[in-house]
Amino acid sequence: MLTVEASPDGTTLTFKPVGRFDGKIYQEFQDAYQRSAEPTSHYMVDFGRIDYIDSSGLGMLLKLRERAGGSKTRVHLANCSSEIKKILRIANFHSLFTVA
Amino acid sequence: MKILVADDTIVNRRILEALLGKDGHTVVLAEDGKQAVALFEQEQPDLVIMDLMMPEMDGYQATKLIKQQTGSRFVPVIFLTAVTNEDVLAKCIAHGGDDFLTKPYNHTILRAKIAAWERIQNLHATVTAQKDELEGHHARFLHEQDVASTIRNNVLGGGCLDQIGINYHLAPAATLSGDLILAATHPTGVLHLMIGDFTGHGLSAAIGALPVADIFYRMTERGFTLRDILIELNRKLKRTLPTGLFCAASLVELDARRGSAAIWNGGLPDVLVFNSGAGCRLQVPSQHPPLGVLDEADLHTGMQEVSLEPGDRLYLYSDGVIEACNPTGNQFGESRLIEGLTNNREPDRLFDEILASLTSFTAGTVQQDDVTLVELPCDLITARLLAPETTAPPQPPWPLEWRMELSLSPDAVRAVDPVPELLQILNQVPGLPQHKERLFTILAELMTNAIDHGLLGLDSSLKHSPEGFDAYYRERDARLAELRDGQVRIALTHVPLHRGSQLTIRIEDSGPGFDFTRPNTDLAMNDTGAGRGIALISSLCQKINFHGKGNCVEVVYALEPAA
Repeated sequence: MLTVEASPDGTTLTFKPVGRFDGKIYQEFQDAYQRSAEPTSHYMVDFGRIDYIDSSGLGMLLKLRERAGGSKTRVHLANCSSEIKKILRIANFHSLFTVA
Repeated sequence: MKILVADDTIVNRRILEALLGKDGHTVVLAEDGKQAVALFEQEQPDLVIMDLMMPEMDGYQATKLIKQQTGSRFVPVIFLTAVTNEDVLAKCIAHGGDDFLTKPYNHTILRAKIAAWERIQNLHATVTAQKDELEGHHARFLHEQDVASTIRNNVLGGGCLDQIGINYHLAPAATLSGDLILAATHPTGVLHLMIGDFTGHGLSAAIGALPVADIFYRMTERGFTLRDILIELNRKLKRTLPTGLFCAASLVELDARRGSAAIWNGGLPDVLVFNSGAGCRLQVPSQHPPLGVLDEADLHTGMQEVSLEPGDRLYLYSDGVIEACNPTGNQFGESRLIEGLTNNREPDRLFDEILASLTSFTAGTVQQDDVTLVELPCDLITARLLAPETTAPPQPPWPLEWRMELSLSPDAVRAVDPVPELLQILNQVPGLPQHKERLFTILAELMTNAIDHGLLGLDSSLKHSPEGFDAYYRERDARLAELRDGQVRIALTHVPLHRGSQLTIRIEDSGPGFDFTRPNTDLAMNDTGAGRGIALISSLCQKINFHGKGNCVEVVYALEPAA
């Protein structure tokens, strides 16, 4: 399940996935960020209600980063649990995304 | 539609023939059950209207025989009978009948029933055709997976995985694995090993594995360093894989002569260095994103250097090992793995013990991910790497006298690592391939001195720490990119002797040279990873002499005659 919110000024798109961040929501996630004709300047993925991420999920984040122009500061991964942070650390995604 | 009518009363047959004919159907008439069965086979009608009580064979029996003939084709049978007893009607259905209509019947209702059955029949035909198509696709898919799996295994199986003493376990979750293990020996007697885990499973992961194996084997054979291979693998994957697909990998370079290992981990669980005396004495965590994610300029190739001790074993594994689940959904976990290592009393049985403990933990739970586990018993592998090649007996050296000279400009040095190219040429000379490991080491050391210290003026003391290694190579890349002047001249001279022959390697760089009157010939210095060059070369060849201001070195290497 995935909800998407745009900030009032339209500069940030926030994704709020629930459950597992894996290949099953790939299409939904891709549709969500491609729906806006112009890429917004910042993206936020709220991991507050995610308890599992797999390599397909990591791949989706890389695609989002590409959409955002490949800049570390434009994609924020927020509210990551220690388990999610551990996986992001193993993949060294700290060097590619802003993780909190 | 072609409709078969079975009725022993001629009047009934004529009425139905007229009615159905008027609606545009073709009608075939049978006078009893036996004839109905025969005509059914002969005429292949689309629908049957069956009377119940007939001579020779009744409607029940005829229906049963007709339904046995239809196979996958669906032909509805409608009973037309004067009997209204419910048990009899139920018996019609039990014998394979699809519907019934009691006499006297209404023409409109009969017409509606026939139309309804025609629709059902069309639906059935569509579903059957789709099912056949689906089965065909599935069969082709399975066949293609098998073929892909065979190709993948052939390409991946080109190394020395089974010859050098490596223990490994590779259990794919599906026909096509997303994990891979590659091992190959470098011309200098160094082992290169890689384990990789592609995003996802199946065809895309299997296709991605092909160029990886190809690059790994080809570059190792030609004498490229693991660092060069790493850069090429990342470049190739970054260029060919779509964003989001990548390969988490651990690579190990095990150097038997130096007794050391260099480890690079990008996105896989910790590489473990275990020793029966000290337990799990070192863990090398992932310090890089997986291969295929970063641009070449952002890739860090710094490796963790490990000085090997007797009894050391390295463990590399994919996350499928620690994420394997038991029937209640708990994961095997890194702690269980390390606990198993720590509790072991017989190191030679350790690998089997870990596998047994994993199998008993998962207890037959369906495997979700590819499981890959590799053990490198370093003592055994080191011994095999250092053992003289027992394959072909040495051939007599090339009997002729020859000389070859090569001059490298900065552009040439930037474009290609000359050592594998030179080795490629020497490999063509009969008698020399048996010496290729030693010649490679000598050439590689001399070229490093000429380029790194002579042309680029780098200080090898930088390499004292693992961080320094990385810094050293970054600085090397930067200075090499800026290099405008200078050259390296290489001369190879081969002279036949009374017994055997000798190869003289002379390398001269345009750098400032060094004070060769105080060379560091302490072989123990080799272990520090820096200043090892001259001592190492001295141990491999007959003579080493410096000329000029220390910018020219000449090495004499003796080629023994065949025994």
